[in-house]
Amino acid sequence: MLRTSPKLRLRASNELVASRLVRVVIHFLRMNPRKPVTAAVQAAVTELLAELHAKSGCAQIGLERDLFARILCEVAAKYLPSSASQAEARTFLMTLRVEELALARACAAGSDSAWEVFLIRYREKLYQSALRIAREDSAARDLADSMYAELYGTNTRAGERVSKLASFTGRGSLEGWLRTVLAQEFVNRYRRTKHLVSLDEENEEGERFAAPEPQPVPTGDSRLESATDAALAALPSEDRLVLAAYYLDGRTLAEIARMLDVHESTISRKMDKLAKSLRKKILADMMKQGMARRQAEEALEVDVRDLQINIRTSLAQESGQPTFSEKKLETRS
Amino acid sequence: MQHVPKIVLKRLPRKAGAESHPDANLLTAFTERVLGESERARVMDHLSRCGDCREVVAFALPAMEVVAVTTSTESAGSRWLSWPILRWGVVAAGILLVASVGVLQYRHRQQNTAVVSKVVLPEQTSGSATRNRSSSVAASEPQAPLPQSDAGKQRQSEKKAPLHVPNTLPSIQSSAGNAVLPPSSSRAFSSAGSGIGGSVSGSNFGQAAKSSAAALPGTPSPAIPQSSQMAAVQSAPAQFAENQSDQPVQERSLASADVVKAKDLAGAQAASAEPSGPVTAPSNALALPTVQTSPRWAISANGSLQRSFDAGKTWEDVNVSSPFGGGVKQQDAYKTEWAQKKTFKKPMSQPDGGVVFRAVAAIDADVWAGGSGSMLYHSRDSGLHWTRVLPSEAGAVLTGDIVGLEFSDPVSGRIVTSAGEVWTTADAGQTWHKQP
Repeated sequence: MLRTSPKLRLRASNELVASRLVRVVIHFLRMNPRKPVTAAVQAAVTELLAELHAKSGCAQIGLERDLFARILCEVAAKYLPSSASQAEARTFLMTLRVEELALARACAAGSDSAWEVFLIRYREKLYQSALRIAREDSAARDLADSMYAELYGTNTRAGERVSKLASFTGRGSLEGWLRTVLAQEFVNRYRRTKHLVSLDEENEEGERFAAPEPQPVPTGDSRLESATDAALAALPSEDRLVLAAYYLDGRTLAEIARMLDVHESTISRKMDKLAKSLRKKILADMMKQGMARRQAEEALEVDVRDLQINIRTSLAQESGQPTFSEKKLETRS
Repeated sequence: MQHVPKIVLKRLPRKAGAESHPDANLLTAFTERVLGESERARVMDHLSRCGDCREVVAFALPAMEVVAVTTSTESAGSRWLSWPILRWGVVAAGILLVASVGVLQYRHRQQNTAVVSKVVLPEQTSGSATRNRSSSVAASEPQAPLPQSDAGKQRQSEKKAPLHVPNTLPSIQSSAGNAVLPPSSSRAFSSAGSGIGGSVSGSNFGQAAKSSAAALPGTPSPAIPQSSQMAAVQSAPAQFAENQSDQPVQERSLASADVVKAKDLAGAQAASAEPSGPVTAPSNALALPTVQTSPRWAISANGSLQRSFDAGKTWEDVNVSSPFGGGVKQQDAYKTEWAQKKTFKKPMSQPDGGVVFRAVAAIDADVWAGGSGSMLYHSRDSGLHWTRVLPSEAGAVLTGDIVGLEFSDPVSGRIVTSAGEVWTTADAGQTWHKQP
């Protein structure tokens, strides 16, 4: 399927080198968090260290107490605002999954016993999750294997093994985190592949089959657009998320419900309510701008025929966006 | 579910701003709902604008225990509507199952202890009966001599060894066709037969044959030979009981003659017969435990080919176009029965992509079925595999609908079409001759 010209292969290998560099830089940044550890956080960590250290089972997996304390400080400093009080820091620390955090960081630090525990617990799950994400065995193996390598940390620079597990902070479960990084990797790859293919096709056939520039869709009335934008902006972000996931991503109601951890019927009711309230709001806004009711209704019902094509093209354009790791670099440096 | 105005979809933001994506930790914590209010709101806001992160979150969802994703696009309203239907369906299926098991048990006990049986016929409408009459008459004529030859064998064996009752009884069973008696019931059977023997008279036989033939208007040929086989078996123990060797044979020939007469009456009687509801044969027809190797064949009111492995209690549609006959498995007979009740309620649909069968003829495992548009199918294995046959001779092919099929033996047969053509074969359909 993927026809690669030498030029493209060169580009891909450049990309690979770049992404490796990016990871090293990220690791460096993580090891040296920008946010200073505040006194409140320090105090809370000191207060809870004994309890959390016992809970985490660091002793069995060979994670030193000092290192564990530093990790806790780093995590707390990363997520807590600098104005957080000692009580807030304590609450935050208590919500962390310290056992999984300790395991992940011990693995990252190169503890063999920790790595054994990790393998026993998560290796099978890693492959299963990859299979569910990639939906095809060979792709899943490929995905899981590369993730496995990244987790173990194959990039050795200056004698240091860089493991992806070092970025786990214990906010959610380690299992969920593993699924998420797999999904990110998969989306990255998918986008990259798609990008290459489309470039390829452009090179080969672009001239002969040059499509005419897509005309901007005649929407008829700018008042309709502004009214719609206003109505959308007034929505809570959760509602916009539901709309986008359903209509743009084609997710099912059940999937959306699980993404938001609510019941499916809640999402279903929400969609109904949204459809009604949006229509009402847009109509009201247009009438406020001086349209007659009938005129406003007609404008709303205009069949935007090119809508489907528009979504597709905009999604395709979006695929050219930088991927996660690159983007992080941009914002951090 | 009401859909939002399309303009809304068009204006939905599709690109995240210049901000960074939340990292895997935050996305995981978001899905697992362990984020604080402000953090959750931030991630939510990002997700509402970033398709990539939404995709990541969706991909990273834990495996579901119950797979229901595909059906969930339906709105809640219609889903709730469908539940009661499902539930009632389950309840109805349960009741049907219990009822049929009960009936089966009852019947089983009856067969072991008594002589009375019921021959339940499938629901047939009068329309199909008249349509099938020609085929059943035509196909059964060659079959008529069979019982007589059976009877001849019986007479011979009786004359040879009239006292060897235990030996001849099995031979009668085998000569009586495909019926096999389990050892446990054979004793009861013979004693019951001897009890009845005295009271059975010629007129009784004729009546039995006539009424069973009348009750079988829609069923094709094998049904009628079977009823005469029943008579043959029934009379045999009577001979042993009373030592009358010649009279029952005459009665049998009378009976088979009556069968032919009854068939002529069958059409007229069928027209007035109840189109639905099981028809029971009179009680003096002997019950044979119904383990048959070759099925019965029939054509339903809407022109689909049907076969029955259990002497007509349940019928299954046979799909000639599929390579394996497409019949429902026999052990699912109850389901089939239920499914047929359902399909009878539905408007008549034409099976097999529009083939409407008009005639069927079966000799053991050899089955011929013909219908509209010169469709002729042949199966050598009781309908497991079908081949389409198109009779032709010297450039002329069979045209019109096949309305009649006659096969006197597995190789020689005769076809009558609606166009008035008559085609014959003498080599199981390899070559055909059009009669002028």
